[in-house]
Amino acid sequence: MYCPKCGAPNSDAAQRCTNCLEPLPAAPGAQPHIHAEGEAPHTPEAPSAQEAPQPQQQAPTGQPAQPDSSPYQQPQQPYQQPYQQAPQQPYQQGQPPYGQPPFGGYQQQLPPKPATFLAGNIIMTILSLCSCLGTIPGIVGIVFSAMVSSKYNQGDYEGAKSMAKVAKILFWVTLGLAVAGIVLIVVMIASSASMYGSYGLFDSLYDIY
Amino acid sequence: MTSISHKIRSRALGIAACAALGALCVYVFVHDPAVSPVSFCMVRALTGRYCPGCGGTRALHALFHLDIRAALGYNLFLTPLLPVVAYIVLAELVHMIAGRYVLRQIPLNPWVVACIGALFLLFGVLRNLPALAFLAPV
Repeated sequence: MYCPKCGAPNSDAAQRCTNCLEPLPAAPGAQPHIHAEGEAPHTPEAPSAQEAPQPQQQAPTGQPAQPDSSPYQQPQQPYQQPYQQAPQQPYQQGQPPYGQPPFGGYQQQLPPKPATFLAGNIIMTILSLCSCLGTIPGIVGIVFSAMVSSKYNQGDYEGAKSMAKVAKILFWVTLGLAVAGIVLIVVMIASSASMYGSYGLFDSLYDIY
Repeated sequence: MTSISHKIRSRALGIAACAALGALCVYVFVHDPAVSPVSFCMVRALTGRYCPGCGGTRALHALFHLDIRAALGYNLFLTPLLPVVAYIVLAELVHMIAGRYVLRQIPLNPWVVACIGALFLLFGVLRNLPALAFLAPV
């Protein structure tokens, strides 16, 4: 279960949050189904959307990391809506709880999304194209950045965190390789300039290509 | 407060990445890397071997001009993956800028992605073998 105060993940049997020592509510084996039905009258859209299986929407059941069975959820909040509802009714959600995600607000109990490093990975991949060093880790890093969002939107916060860790490592690897490649290019141009003078500055680079 | 600044920061990063990607795409579209290279491959310069991504920019240029046969000739492995990666990046960038998913996410498994990465490295070894010279960029 997730701590209602700070959002840190805890084992279901834990009495107090390992992060902030807040006393945790007891989890008397609440079933997600029962909970969903109990919450259903608040939002008429939720049941139909849950019955219709859509590829994007990850059903709340069967996601152990999704804390929808926890009894501390305030009853006046509408039941967590699948993301497919967002285009029709973007910001009709209830009160923003703790740990509000940056956009949409459909995951009401999850802590904020970990940094995806998507933009950084894209920019580093483009930078690495100068020397081809780091392009492969850059592209893999972009895909892992995308997986941070997809795991998070499935309610899998732990999975999103581990994807974010890989994406971050790949970002720094790509950064290092790209900078090393640019340094190498500068060194090669400088050495060819000293060999051939100002004439044919780039010839050695074109020759090897 | 934090969520608002997070939103603005995410949007700014998304726009910056979009601008960089757009500039790269326009440049590769206009400029033919087969005539003069866009990038100086350091793997090729230092070792004389083809790296797994060799021919990638030429393949991208050929794809932009809808010459799929030439693109496959330049890089057999990367050419089918480029549109998929482009879609993933586009979907995520739209999410960063617009704040919601206009394009659907492709479900991805980290192990599948890691396996494709490992196969990509294997492809880089194979294309340097004389018996598999057809894998090398033309």
